[in-house]
Parts: sequence; structure tokens; C-alpha cells
Amino acid sequence: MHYFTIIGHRMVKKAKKPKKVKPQLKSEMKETKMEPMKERNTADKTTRNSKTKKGRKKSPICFVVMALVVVVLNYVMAQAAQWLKIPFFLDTWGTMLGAMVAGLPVAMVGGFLYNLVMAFTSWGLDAWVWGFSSLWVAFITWYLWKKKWIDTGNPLKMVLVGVIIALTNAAITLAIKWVFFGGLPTYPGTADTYQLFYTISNGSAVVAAIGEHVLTELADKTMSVFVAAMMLDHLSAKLKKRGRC
Amino acid sequence: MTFVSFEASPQLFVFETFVYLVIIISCLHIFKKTDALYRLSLQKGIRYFSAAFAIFTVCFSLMYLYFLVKFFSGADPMIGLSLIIVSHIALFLGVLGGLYLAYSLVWRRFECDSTACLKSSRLISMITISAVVAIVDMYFYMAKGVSVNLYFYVMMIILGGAILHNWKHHKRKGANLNPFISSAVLSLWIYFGIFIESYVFPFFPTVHYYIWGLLPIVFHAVAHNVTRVIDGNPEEEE
Repeated sequence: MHYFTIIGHRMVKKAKKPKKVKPQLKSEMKETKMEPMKERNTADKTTRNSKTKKGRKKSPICFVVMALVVVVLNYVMAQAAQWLKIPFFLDTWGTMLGAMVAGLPVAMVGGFLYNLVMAFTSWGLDAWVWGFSSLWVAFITWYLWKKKWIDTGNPLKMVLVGVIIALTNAAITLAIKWVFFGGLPTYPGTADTYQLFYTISNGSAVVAAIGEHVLTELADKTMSVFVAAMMLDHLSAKLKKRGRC
Repeated sequence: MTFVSFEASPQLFVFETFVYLVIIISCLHIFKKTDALYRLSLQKGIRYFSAAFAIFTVCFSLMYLYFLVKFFSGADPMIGLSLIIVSHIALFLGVLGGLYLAYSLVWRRFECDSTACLKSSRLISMITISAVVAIVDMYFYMAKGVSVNLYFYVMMIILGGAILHNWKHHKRKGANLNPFISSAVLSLWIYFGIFIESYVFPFFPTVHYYIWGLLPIVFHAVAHNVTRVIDGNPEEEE
């Protein structure tokens, strides 16, 4: 049963326990006294602080590279989903991964940039507005990650995270669709879903749009958050093995 | 599900192959990991959990074989009967795997000190239940041409009951049995998802993508979870 007590473990680094100090002889203790100890402590503190600062400080090149990685990850999966004609977008998992690995600004910039790239290459210029949805996904993922809700050790909580992201994002995408595209489906993969709800509701475009968005977002975002979190775990494990983490 | 030829829809072939491969590899991975853990711990719950995923591996391999044959042969009546038999063997294994998974949650309540777990009368009864469900479904399929989906009802009731029992026990004892419970809940979701698909599919074929698109994620999540439990460093947590 011992193994099953460690399931709640997170990949987030925990504060290490202070190392046990070997008991010193009384004579040695007298020699060192308090002052040198105080100095040693402050030095240690400053080194740790400077190390943390150094670790957290990101160069602009690093920022740009990270944002571009987010764009590429989103782009590749979106193209695959489009080719497979499946009713998922799969174009937010890169943004989610970016929010977890590199922080909110990188995820927001990467997510918005991806929408601009798609607008200029395949969706049409009007489609840049979907960038606001990516901004929200980046924010909510980052927030839930900070709150430690995203944890692959607890798949049921992950499903809940997927549902939260999906429902909130569905409201935003629905608003964008009504304002900019008249409520009609813009993605060929989800046209069948729209048609189903349209038929069930006896021709109500509002119900059809809501149904299409909620169902698609629920599946898409749950899938994306799982993929992003598991990818992060794999990366962390590999880096840990190499001693870089 | 209406199958089309590979030339007409290479996307469907790619999608199904990806889904089945991820599921089969994940199940095999879970089986190997938990089997190794069982050898170390000799904990019977892990034995049943491991066996469940070994059975699921064979079940999904058969289902993929079924898909491949049907996909490339179209509606050839010569192989129709053998396909029905293969699909019902897969069904039998699917039910048996689910029963093993449910039993891994509640074995403490039923089992005595018997060490030969495979000879246990409970396990023989599980095999019998699976066989009866598969034969009844096959009978209805041959006679009326419609699957009654009996196995979904059986599995949802048994697995749901096992989860509920374990949940209460888990709360009372305060033990952390997350991998067992979450795997069982996710498996319940799989049965429920395929159950929904079987009713909705005739007028909404896209539901197949919604259900089967999530399956590899579910299996991979369970595999990932199990790996973390087994490979995790306990010292790091203390």
C-alpha cells in the first residue's frame, strides 16, 4: 500500500527540508560563535536569492523563442485536426503548455500570434478575433496551474479543469461568433454537431450554436489540458533524469 | 458504424489506427508496470488491476483487427460470421476486464485467505457472467440483427457499485487509493461513452469522434498515473 500513498505528488518543486547539521564540539562552537554564522547565513541567503532571480529572469530571445514554440505546437495540431476532419480544434494545447512552462505573457503572446498566423494563412483576415479566446485560455490555464488544480495525479480534478476552461471559453467564443460571424459555424469539422442541435431544436439557431460550442469545447479543452499536462510531466521527468531540473 | 474504403477516407483509417495504438500501448504499459509492482508487493488488488489491463490489451487488439478487416473488405458476407464471433470475443473480454477492475476495488470484502486467486470461485463467476452477457448479446444480434447493449448496463451497475463501495471505504479508512478509483471511474466513463454512442450514432455519426477521440487520453492518463505511482520516488515526498 506504500506506493499508493504517493499519488498526490506534484511536479511542482517543493521546498527542501533543511539539512541536518552535524553536532559540533563545544570548543568548535565557541570558536565560530554567532557572528560568523550570521554572515554565512546571509551569504547563503543571498546566493539562493540571486540564483532564483537568475533562474526566473528571462531574456527577450528566450521569450520570443518560447512564444514561437507555442505558435508551432498549436499550428501543427490544428492542421492535423483539420486534415483528419475531426470535430476538435486542438489548437490551444500549445498555449496551455506555454502558460504552465513559461508563464502568462508567453502563453498570451504565443496564443494570439497563432491566431494571427492562421488568419493570414488559412482562416481569412476576419479570423484574427479568435485571438481573444486564446488570451482567455492562456489566463485561465495559468490561474488554475498556479492554484495547483492542474495535476495529472488526479485525473478527475483534471476533468473538472477541462470543464471549467471549456465552459468559460465557450461563452467567449459564442459571443465572438455572434458578433463577428452571425452565429454560423466557421469550422467544417463541427458543422455536423451544429446540424444535430439545429434539428433537435426545430430550427433554432441560438440553441444550435450553444449546443455546438459547449459540446465541442468540452471535448476539445478536456483533451488539450490532459495532453499539455502530461507533456509537461514527461518533459519534467526527462529533465530531472538528466539533472537539469 | 458505416465503414468506407481506405481510398475514400484515409483520415478515418489514420484516426482509428492512432486511437487503437495509443490504447493498446497504454494498456500494455499499465499491465507491465503493475505486474512488476505485484511481484514486489504481492498485493492481490494490484494482481486483479494488472490482469484487467492485460485483458483490455487483448480486447482492444481484437477490436482493431475487427476494424481493419471490415475496413479493407467492405461488406463481404463471407467473412461476416467470423467478424461477429471476433467482435463478441472482444465484448466478452471487455466485460471480463471491467469485472476484474471492479473486483480489484472490492476484493478485500469478498476474498478469504486463498492464495490461488485464479482458481477462486469469484473469478470463475466473473468469467461466467462475461460469457453469459456475450452469448446473450450474440443471440440477439444473430436473431434480430440488433445488439441489446446488455454489457453496458451490467458493467455500469457493477463498476458503479464497486466505485461507490470503495469510495465509502476509502473515506472511512483515510487511505489514498486514487489510482484504483480514478481508473475505475475513467473506465466507467468509457463504458458510458460507448453506450451513448451506440444510441446516438445512427443519426449523429460525429459522436464517434467525440467518444473515441477522448479514449486514448483516458487510457494514457491512467497509464501515466500508474507510472508515476510506481516510478515515483517516495523519499521525495517525505
